[in-house]
Formats: sequence, structure tokens, C-alpha cells
Amino acid sequence: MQSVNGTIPLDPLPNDGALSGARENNTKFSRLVEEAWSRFSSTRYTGFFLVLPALLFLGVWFIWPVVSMIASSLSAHVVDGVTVEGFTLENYTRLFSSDLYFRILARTVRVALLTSICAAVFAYPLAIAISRGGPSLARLVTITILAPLLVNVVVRSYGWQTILNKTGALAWALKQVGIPHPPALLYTEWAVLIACVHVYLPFMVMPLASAIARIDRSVEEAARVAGATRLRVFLKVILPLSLPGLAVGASLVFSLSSAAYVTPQVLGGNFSPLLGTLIEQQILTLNDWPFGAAISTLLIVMVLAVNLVFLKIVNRRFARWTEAAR
Amino acid sequence: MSNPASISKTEGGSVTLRGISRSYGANQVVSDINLEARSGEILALLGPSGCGKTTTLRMIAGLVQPTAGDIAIDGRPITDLPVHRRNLGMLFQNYALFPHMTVLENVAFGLSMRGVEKAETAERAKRALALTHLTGFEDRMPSALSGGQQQRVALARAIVYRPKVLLLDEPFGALDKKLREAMQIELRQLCNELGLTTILVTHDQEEALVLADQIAVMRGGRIEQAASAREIYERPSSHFVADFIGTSNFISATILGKHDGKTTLKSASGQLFESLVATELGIGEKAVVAIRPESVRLSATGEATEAINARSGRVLRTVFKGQTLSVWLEMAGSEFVCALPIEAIGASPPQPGQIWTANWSAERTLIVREQ
Repeated sequence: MQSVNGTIPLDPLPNDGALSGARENNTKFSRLVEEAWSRFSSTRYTGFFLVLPALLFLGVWFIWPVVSMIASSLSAHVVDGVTVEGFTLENYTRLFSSDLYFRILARTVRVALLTSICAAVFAYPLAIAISRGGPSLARLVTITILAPLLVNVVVRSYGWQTILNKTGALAWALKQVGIPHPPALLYTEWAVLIACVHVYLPFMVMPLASAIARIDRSVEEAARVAGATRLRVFLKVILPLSLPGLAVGASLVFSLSSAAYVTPQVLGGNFSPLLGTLIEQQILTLNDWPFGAAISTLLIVMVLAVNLVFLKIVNRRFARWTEAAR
Repeated sequence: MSNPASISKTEGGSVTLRGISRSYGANQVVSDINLEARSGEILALLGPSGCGKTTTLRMIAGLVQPTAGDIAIDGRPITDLPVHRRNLGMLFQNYALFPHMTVLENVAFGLSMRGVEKAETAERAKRALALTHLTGFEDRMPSALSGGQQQRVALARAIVYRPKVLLLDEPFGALDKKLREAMQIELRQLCNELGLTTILVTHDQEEALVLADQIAVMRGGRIEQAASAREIYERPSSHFVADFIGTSNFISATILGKHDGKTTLKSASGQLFESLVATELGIGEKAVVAIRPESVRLSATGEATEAINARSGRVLRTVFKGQTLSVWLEMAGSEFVCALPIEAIGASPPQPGQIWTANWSAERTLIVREQ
């Protein structure tokens, strides 16, 4: 150290001065670059640039179509097969004045809600098996749950049709165990519900499994040591702590099943249509685009409202748990 | 303690482990452990990571089933009793508080699981919080507490229902040194006041020495030695124990003779040692002589000598540690460390490069098994 300290004053000063001048210029430039970069990368702009590609894509392919759909529901209505142009609320008054449409709307909400609830009931044991079971069990359950997604939903719906048919597999099985005249399932709400639960179950299991996997195992163990049975551990620890996952799953399943078209069409037929079927009829069969657009708008608003209310409730609860030290 | 009598002193249960083993496939994690924690005693399971201490604790809790052996509390077998019916309290390394419950709800959990009436539950939970100095924190969420406070909540949650036994799994590992020491003393007081039998898992020898009445040193799934802290330190039974608890200088030797409680040993280089410490090892058996750094006295000889219980070497380095001066001597290619009390150092302390002679008394010459 001492010898190094000794050599510094011996350095030729003029040379050093020239160097430092150049270095100063250099730093000035790099500081400018740095400033520009930091302005560019400041949180306000970075966020914007990161979102831009998705924003452009959604703007062109989602937001614009939705806006034009809403516009078309307000700018024309069809009377006796003839389109009348001009601003109108006629499509919406028609939607709310008819008992038929209200029944279909109610059925859609009912099926979507029941699907979410049933899917949650089936999903919890599966999610626990995935997140808490051994690795081979977890893999097996995951594959079994995800495999149906590889099969087209049309094919699966027809599969359910052959099972739920009056002479189908289920009726045959019931006959074997001594129920000769089982109630008809096909073309009822029940058939739609059963198939919807099957089709949308993975969307409930996966977020639930990841939420449960995030729960610290020792928290469960602490509950058990403190005297909780396994059922109590589920009700008091796993259930409340997995609510964020349940919220995501329920919101996915509700949205998907309320907008479902193929499954209700194949299994519910015209006896038990949902909003999707109604929209298809208005647009493709009756050629009434403005009214179809109005029903679609109603569907979007309904799904959005339910999701927002739901997430709001869950978020408020969850925020309380993570309340930071203040 | 603000109110020591608020949770009445209960008779802690005695815990007996008989031939406890646990294996995962071919991997034997715990083999044939026999151990007893007497009522009201603090027992530490001490060992390096992977020695099976945590598995042993989890078997007592019921979170892991032993593959062989019996566990009994107060003589009653609990091996087949499910976790929630064992009536134990447990502290986890990461506290494991319920993040969605307030402090009071966390503490009250065990009571409500036992069907205790609501008013009484709140009352008792508050008393447990007072005992752990957390009065006023009832409505906070765990995430709004510091690590030390969370640990206190976990402690209150574990003792509120008067468990037979308190189990601690590396409870203070995540706390800083000062807080850890304060919590250790506090825990010891609390356990003694409540008469709680406590079983503690730790890899920190100091923590075991501070807290435990009995220390079981574990290695490779077995117990190397189980005895009081003082006996473990002063009479380690094996090389491993002497090395794990405190620091020791080791010299391999063979037992030459035993006479009147005095054992004579000879090292490979022909040096003789005498020990007054009792040993089970017989004449002709291989042994290791262990000398604690603080048992050593140093004298400046200036030349190499090898008398009985004395060895000289060149000073490699010295480190001032506050109360002691550590001196490393080079002896026959290995290092020999001495810890000299500051008062014992004269006007000319050892300097690197000098030759000094270390000597120690026969009472302080420990004989341990090789393995």
C-alpha cells in the first residue's frame, strides 16, 4: 500500500489534466444518454411501451369490434324483416319486455353459477391431490384433467349426448341397477350443466392447485398440531387461503360457461337454450343483426359485472391478510 | 413476566422414545433412537443438518409416522394417535402463523378446536398474549408484525391450550443474534414457569447449551451422546461430539495402560499423554485425545519439546477475541489452537514465528472414541 501511495504524486500532471478533460466530455455525453434512457425507462413510460403491442392487438381485434357491435345494437332495429336505420333503444326494450328472453338470461346465469359451484366442489380434491400429493400422483391427476382439452369441444359434447341419450350409456347402466325409467336428461338444463362442468373443470382445477401449492405446509401442520382435524384444516386454513385461486377459477368458469355455445346447443337443443344459442338464432337464422348485437352486449355486461363484483369481494378480504406493517 | 400466575403451572408430560426408526425407501433417516425427556425438562436434539433431528421431532408431533418403535407420553403410547389428539404445542422455523387470522384469532385457534366457550377462549388467548408481551397486538395481522413478534404469537398459540409437551423446530433460526438470545432466555423462563416439557431441535450448539437441561447429540440418524450440557461439554464420548460442541484439538493415540484411574496414551509420533478422565476404552484400543483450547496454558520455551501432556510448536497467528486471545500453533503439520484468558497474558504475548509450548493438566485431557 505504502509504495502505491508514494507513486501517485510522481505522475506527470499535464498529461493527467488533458486526460481528465476528455473524460469529462465523455462523462457528459454518457450522462445525457443515461438521462434519456432513465426518462425512457421511468416507470410511467416503460409500462406504456410494455403494454403497447397487446394494446394495439386488442384495440384492432377486440375493442373496435365490441364498440361497433354496441353501436350496431343502438343504430338500427328490424321490423318484420326490414332493417330500420337510426338511433334506437328498441332492441333493448324488446329484450327486457319479453318473458322469453328474461328466462333465457336467467337460465344462462343459473347454469353458469351452478357450473362454477359444481366445478369448485369437484376441483378442490383434485387440486389438493395435485398440490399436496406425491409427484407421480400429481402428474397423473394433472394429465387426466388436462387431456380432455385436447379433444374438440364439439366431439366431447356429442360424446355426452350418446351417454345422456334416452337409450344411451347412462340409461342402460341405470336400467341394470333396477331403475327402468330414469328421468330424461338430454335436452334439459341438467345435461348442459353436466357437460359444462366437465368441459370447464380444468379452468377451475389449475388456478386452485397453484393457489393451494402456495400455502405454506407448515401452516397446515401448525393447525393440525393445535388440534384441528383434517376437515377443520381444510375449512379453516386451506379454503380461506385458496380463495384467490378460487376467485380466478370461478371467474374463468363463469365467463366461459355463460358464453358457451356448442355445449348448450348440442345438449340443451332448442328446449333449453342459453344466450349463446339465442344470439346465433337471431343473427344466422332470423338475420336480425342489431338484436343479436343487443343480446351480445347484455351478455358481456353481465359477465363483466359478475366478475368485477366477485373479484372486488375477494380482493378486499385478501388485502386484509397481507396488510403490511404501517 | 407481567403476570406469571395467569396460566397455571401444569405438570409437563414425560416423553419416551423406544427404538424409534424412520426410513424413506432404502434411506434410513432415523435409526433406533432411545431417549427420554423427563417431565418439565428441556431436551435439545442437536446435530448437523440431515442428522434426523427434525424427523425425530416430527415423529413425536405425529406429522411423520415411525417405521419402527414406540413413542409414549407419561407412559401412554401415542404412536397411533392422530396429530390433532396428541395435545402438543409446536413452534415452526418460519413461525407458520395463519396469515388470514388476526393475532388473537391465531392464538385462540387451538382453544376453539377444543370446543372451549367463546368468552373463555378470548380470555385465555389474551392471557397467553400477555405472557408473551403482546398485549395490544390482538387485532393486528401477522404480516404486520416483525419476526420476533411473530415468533411470540406462535409461542402464545402453542402454549395457550396447556399442551403436555412443547416442540420447537429451529425456532430462532430466522432471528438476528441479539433478538435470538433474548428470546432464548425468555423461552427458558417461560417453560420453567409453566413446567412445560420442551423438546427443541437445533443445529446451533450455543442455543442447545443456553436452553437445554439435556442435550442429545445426533449424527446420521443415531444418538451419539445424550447427557446434560455440562457433561456433554466436559466429557464428550466421541470425536464427533467433542468436535461438534465447542472446539477441540485432536491427537490420535493408542491406550498404553490404565492404572488408578489414570490412563496413559501414546501418539503415533511416540508422544505420551496422561488423562484422569474415565474412559470405557481398553488397553491397546485406538482413541483420540481431545484438548479444549481453553484448557491449554502456554509457556515461552524457545525450543521444541515433547513432554507428557505438553507439545510445542511455532506460532502461526494470533487473534484477539475480547475475553480471550486465540493462538494457533503449528505442530507436526497440523494446527493446535489455544484460547488464553486476557488476564493470563503477560507483558510479552506470543508473536507469530516464535516457538511456544502448550501444556495441559491430566484432568483436562479428554479421551474420545475415534468415530
